[in-house]
Amino acid sequence: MLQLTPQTIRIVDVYDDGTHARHFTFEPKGFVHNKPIGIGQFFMLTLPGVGLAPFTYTSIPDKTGRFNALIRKVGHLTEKLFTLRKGDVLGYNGPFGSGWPVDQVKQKKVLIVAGGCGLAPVATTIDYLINNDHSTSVTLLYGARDIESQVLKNERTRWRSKIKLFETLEIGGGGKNTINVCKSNNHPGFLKLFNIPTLCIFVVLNAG
Amino acid sequence: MSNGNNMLNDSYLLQNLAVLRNHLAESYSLVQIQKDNDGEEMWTEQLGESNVPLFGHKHLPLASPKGFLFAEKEALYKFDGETFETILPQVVPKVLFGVQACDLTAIAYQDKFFEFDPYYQKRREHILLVGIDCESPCSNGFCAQVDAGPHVNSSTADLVLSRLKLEGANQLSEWLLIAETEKGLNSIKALALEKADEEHLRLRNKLLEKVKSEFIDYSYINNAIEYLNNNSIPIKLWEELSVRCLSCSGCTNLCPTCSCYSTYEIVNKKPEKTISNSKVLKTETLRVWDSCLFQGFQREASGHNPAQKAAQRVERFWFHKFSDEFLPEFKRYGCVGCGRCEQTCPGTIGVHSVMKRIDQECCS
Repeated sequence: MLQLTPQTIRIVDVYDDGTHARHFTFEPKGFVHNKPIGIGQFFMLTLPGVGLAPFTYTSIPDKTGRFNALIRKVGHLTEKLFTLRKGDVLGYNGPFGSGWPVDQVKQKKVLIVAGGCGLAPVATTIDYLINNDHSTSVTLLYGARDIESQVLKNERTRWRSKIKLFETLEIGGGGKNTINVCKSNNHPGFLKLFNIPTLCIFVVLNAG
Repeated sequence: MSNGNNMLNDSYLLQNLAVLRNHLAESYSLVQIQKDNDGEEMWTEQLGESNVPLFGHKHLPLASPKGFLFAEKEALYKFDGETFETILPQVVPKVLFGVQACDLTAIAYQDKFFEFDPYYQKRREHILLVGIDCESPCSNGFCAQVDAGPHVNSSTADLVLSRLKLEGANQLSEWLLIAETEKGLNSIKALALEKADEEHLRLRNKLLEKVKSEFIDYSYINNAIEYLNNNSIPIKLWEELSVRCLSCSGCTNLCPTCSCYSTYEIVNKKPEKTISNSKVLKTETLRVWDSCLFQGFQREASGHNPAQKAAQRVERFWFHKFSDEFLPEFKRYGCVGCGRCEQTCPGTIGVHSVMKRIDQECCS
């Protein structure tokens, strides 16, 4: 049967992570995840008295059931969500969606291109590829408007030693770890700029 | 259960319907048709003292009994400030007595749609369906055209009643009672009933052919279904039809297969104060029937609405009823040919009007 009633989760950690974006860690309260959660799946958050909305897992649940989400303030529900603090409870339903066929990435080179908070949905894919030794190499090309807009700071710090990570900024680039690029639709030239050889798999996400 | 031999084994004769009704009333709450104060026929569990229940194929209430399974409004869960708790419906066993083939086919359709819905299924498992074969076509009805009647489709009811008009029996009506499911068979186990023989089953089939032959020509419906699936209906026609849609939701409320719903929350206006003096927010989440013909039905959180125009909503509704796209999942169209939308639509864009218009437009 469908589980329409939300399960209760508690905020155990929350910090600012990018412009109008926050990094949440949730912990199940009185339940365990009874279904395996696949890469690319999503979940619903219910704020009593406000409503419910879908969000992506930035990390799939660990052994204790804790998971992360990078959430950007974009409307009525997220505005209320940003008033919540560590210890507050809210509702959770999930996982939903079919997920991505990440196991098809076997011994291939992978390029992941993400922009702004569009990095959040691919975070689980990057961790999967790192932890499962599925690809011969992983390159992440992450573009953002400026340094303040960049999200998943802690994750990117962790990834930097394990994958090829290029960060581009439209404004204020050229400093440590970033390249200043102008807007370009010239993909071959773009790839040459980052010295990316023959590619087999593209994962492209944009904040939209 | 539906093959010939089993049907013969599970078929009985009944002289007096009251015997069956009274017997079932011992174990089930009876849901029957009665007239309300305005003379409108309706399915009801609360029979008025002076009211006599209506029974028979000629009584097809404007509203189908779908609300007894998919409630028009119901609570789903509540939040007490700390946890969420499911509110499943409190149910008693009910028997829906004398449901026509079209509505039974619709229930079977909704059984698929709500297969994993705990609220629907809680009600469904406590309901016994007693179907009735129709003896003549009803006005607006074209069940035979969409494989939903006029006789009860196999396995859509637990028990089926079919009136056998026996020749030379001085107008005496005798009922054939068929148990279609294990549940149906168990419900009449305690009754000492005479077994039907092959002749009675043959007579039922003969009567079916007779009723089928009495339907008028509804070939425009088949033609329109074909045009709809060929994508050959011009946008202009949908625009023209949609001018007459008032978004009243009459069609979707009365359609026995329509299953769209939305949810909303009731917030406790006076939050209780706890020992720590912090306010506790309590809420209850309910769901109600919704309609794809409402302007905001498909509106997304961003404000974007993929069905902003009435023409898009009207097209979508008919697509949902007659598109081949739904056949793999539901094994049939989403229309059971009851004609209620035609009966209720104030803009006269019910099924007959729309399908006729499509046929005329695309044919020329």
